[in-house]
Amino acid sequence: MDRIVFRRVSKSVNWKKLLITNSSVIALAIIFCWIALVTPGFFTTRNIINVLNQSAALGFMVIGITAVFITGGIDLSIPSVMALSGILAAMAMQNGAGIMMAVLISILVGLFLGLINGYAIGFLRMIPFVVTLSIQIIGMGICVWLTSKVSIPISNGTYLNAFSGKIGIIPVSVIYLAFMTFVATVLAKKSIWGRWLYATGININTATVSGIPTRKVLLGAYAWSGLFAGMASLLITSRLASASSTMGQEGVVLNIVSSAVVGGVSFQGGFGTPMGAVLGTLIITLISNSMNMMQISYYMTLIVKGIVIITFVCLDSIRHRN
Amino acid sequence: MNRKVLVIALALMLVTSMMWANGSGEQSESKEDNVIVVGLAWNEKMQSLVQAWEDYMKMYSKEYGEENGVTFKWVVNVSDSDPIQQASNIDDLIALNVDVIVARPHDAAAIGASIRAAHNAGIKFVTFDRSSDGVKPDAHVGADSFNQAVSTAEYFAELLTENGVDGKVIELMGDLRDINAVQRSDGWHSVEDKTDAWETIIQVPTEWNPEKFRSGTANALEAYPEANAMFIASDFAFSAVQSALEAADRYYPVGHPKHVWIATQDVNPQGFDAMKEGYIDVATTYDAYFHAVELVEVVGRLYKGEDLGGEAFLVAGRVATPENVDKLDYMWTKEYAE
Repeated sequence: MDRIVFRRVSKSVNWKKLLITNSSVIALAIIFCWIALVTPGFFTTRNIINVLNQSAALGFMVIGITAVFITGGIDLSIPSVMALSGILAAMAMQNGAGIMMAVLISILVGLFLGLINGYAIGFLRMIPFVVTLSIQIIGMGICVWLTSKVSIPISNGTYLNAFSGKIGIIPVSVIYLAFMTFVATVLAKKSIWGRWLYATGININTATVSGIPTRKVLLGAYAWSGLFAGMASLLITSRLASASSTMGQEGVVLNIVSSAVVGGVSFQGGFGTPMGAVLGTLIITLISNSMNMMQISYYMTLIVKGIVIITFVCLDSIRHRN
Repeated sequence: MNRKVLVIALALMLVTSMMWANGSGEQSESKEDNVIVVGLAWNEKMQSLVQAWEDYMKMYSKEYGEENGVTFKWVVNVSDSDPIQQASNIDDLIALNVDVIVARPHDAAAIGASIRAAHNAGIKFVTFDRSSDGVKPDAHVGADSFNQAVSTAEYFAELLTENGVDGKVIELMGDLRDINAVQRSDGWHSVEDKTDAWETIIQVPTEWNPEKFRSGTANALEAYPEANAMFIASDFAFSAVQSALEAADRYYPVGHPKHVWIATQDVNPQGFDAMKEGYIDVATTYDAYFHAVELVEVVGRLYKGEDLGGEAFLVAGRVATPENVDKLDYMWTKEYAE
């Protein structure tokens, strides 16, 4: 009898569901294979490392926004939070601060601005779109005001090596990303805060009634996002060996959001993982990289990127409906 | 269970494709004799000027190639005004192992890291239009802003003298953090000091903001009603200046008693018609074609192994007036008119 039941269960596997829930892994594999077929030399060591290195800073910002997306919110302020963190750290180094102080400034500025977002959204019940867009604008204003649109060069060798150096052939930024992806995944899956995040995203009213401190959960999600934006600034400013207001342009949001969505993080809350989001980052970076490698025109690149994003948003809608 | 099977199948696909692809070797862009692979990293491509540059580069490279027995292959990418994306795009060009990278930097400081990365990979690097702040490229090609202003000012001095005008000039400067703006102002004043053909009675910094072109002109005309001439650092915002002149009843073509004598720079689409109709008296062109010519020749020299030592190759432009503006060859403004 038991054997019969077991057979029924295995036959009833929903392949459609399986494909939809693993869409980012499948997409990554297909894109990889396709690029390998049409772009000879794509899998050179240099290019693979290049892709991983390009994904690192974006990956940090995507891990940050994943927590916000899981709660059903959005954070449009990440670019300017990242830029402001980097600028203040670079200014501090210009005035003689050491690497530890620079790191502390980057992280604390990101965290502080994330807390402002979180407080406004969680406790004052303000609309995430409006609050984070306003912080983006304010942040950009401060960046331009502080720098007068002039880049701040960074010449601190220790800082540059710590965040854009290599161990063997592996960029340290990739190692940091791998570590933080692991930490974020463990937190999302195993911690109470992680469970609260998903519960809040699935239905905030039910979560509140169930005793989950949803206000604090929202505060934490946006603080997390700001914190990761601050950490991303370390990788970006060391890679560019400078900090400037141009780092924080609104266009960066598109890459962050599309990476998360492509990585299976739902716009509508309650679904997605940091690991999936980082896979999404790899896919978005691979698309840009492969378009460049295949020498496809700029205009076609824009079209392809747009189609990929729409496809994954569509998959997200189907998944949510199911 | 099925999920595991799926993941294993996908992993196998990945490994197979990697193995297949690895056969193609480490060098992404196979090196053919006498083929110069140029990686062109634009910071943006929303302006017709950028498209004009690219088209002229490709056009002249054919001509240059035929004369020198080489073929140019262009690999172009665009970074949407994002310095991080531009760094990534240049990394992609390095991975492609191109011969020379040409970049129009979006950020003069950030481009230094890309120049270093290219040099570490043994690839020549040329900055185009905008130079690098810190790290020196192999060469720079751009406009000679100082001499561009000098040629305009010298013609303007002759023009005022011929017409017996005692020039009282309003100078609309660009963004003073932009070296081009500073050099244009310096060029203008060097001729003023030398010829004494006019007096600059007020300098208005505009930060390249069209609104400040308009308000600056209006305020200056209000404060200095005796002003009868203008030097405008670029005509890209000429419609804003025109609006202020019209409001002050001072917008008249040459020959009219109320005409304001105007010298400007660039001959952008916004100033082209105004010059043809006689509202602008002189300007020195911002020559996309000649920039492209200079660039192709610099790339050719670097490919042949010449050490250019980070030299700047600057194009001064041609003097345009209402009489000749429609007849000048290779005017991108005319050819790429909206």
